[in-house]
Amino acid sequence: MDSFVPIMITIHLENGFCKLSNMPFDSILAKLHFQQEMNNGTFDGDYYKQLPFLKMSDGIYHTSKPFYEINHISNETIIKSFNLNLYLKLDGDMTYAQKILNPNSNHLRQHKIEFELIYTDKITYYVHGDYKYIESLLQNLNFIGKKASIGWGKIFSIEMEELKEDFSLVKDNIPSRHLPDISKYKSKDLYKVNIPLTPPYWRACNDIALVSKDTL
Amino acid sequence: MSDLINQPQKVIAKLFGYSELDTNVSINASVVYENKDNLHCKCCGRIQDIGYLDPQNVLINISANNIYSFLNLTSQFFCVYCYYIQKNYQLRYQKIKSTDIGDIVVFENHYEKKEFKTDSIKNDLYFIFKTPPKPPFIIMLKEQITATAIVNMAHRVKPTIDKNVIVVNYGLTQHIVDRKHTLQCLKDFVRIKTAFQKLELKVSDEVLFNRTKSTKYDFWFTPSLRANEKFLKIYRNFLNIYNESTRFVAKIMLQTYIEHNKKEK
Repeated sequence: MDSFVPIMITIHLENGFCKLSNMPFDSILAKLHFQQEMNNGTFDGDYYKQLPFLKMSDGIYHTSKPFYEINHISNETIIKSFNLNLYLKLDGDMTYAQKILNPNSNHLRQHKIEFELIYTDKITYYVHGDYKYIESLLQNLNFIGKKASIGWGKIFSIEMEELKEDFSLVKDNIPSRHLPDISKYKSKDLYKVNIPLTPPYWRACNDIALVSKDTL
Repeated sequence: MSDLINQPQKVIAKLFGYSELDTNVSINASVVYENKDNLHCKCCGRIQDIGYLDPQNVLINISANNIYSFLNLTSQFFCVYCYYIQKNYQLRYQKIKSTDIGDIVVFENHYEKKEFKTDSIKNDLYFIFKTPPKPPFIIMLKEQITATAIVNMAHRVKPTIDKNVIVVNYGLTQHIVDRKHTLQCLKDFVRIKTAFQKLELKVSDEVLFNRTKSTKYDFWFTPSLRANEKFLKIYRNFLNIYNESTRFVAKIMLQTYIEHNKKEK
């Protein structure tokens, strides 16, 4: 706990674009931490357990949302199609599987997914935690955002800098992430919304967070 | 807290005719009456009170729900509300083509059909943003993929619990936006549009709002615009102030906003 320091993490992108979620950095660190545990053979299957290398107060980790300047945007369309040969090669348990009458119809039909890409030079995150452990975790981070498999969000380099002040919750009186619904954080520009306070952020839950136009 | 916040699927299913548990569903799925073990539903990911134990996923109707949109597929429990909505989905959406579960605002005890078409000059979303009803409520806009396929989104919806942060459930995605900020986005856009006219620039709405999300975007973003420094400065400023969701929701009600402003003037 004594070794915890405020850190600024700057990520430089190789090809300059990515499809990034606006959720705090603890979701990425949690994924890297569990992956490392899996590689060591010590992971117990609990994705909700506390991350020991991050400072936690009032039920949230001290990690900020991404800060970036958009140069411009573009659209990419991906077409997903069902591969029958691959499906049969997987050789899973087909006891209760529905019969495939036509691999190009109904739910197996090709479909388009469209993404708005952002073009930016660098992405900045603020974190408060164990510098050395986070540095070792980030060595395994090669891509950021969605669709790493087709090269989006390829990372060129990651810079880490120790700061004197912690910007992971509030920076220049503007919240850096969504905050818990307690009187300490309440202000006139913060409103209630139903989103998780800790990772994984995709899950359905009853957590109430305070957000503003700057944190969304 | 109310059911609408904790279990929105329960409220939606009841409003669409659910009254009692259907026990005759399948010989491969056993019926569980009370969810004492607090299992999460494989479809909506929430802890619901009653449902079925379905370890083999026999109850999933894949033509009604996209299996990849399920929130907790490894769970054995399938709640009765998600099952009811899924079972009645084909009937409600695709055969009668009624927009019962799409384009509505759900309240605690009733729901209201609304007009959410982008090109409409009477888009109800604008009036909801202008004078929001008393929360909690759920705004659901249907996403039409093809002429016949509409996404069943009832298992992914999020309720609005504060009138100043509105959650717009569009298909399977949720756009969480600040109400006043979104209205400001529309104001700014009208101001920017007149600035572009003064600069004698032809800029389509799509360049700033990107509602189409198709490769047409490159067509709208013409080479002359790319090379214009004055345009790029305004464009980058607009994108950095208003995020993707805010621009998306603002575009839905843009026509109504312009029409409404004309009348006020």
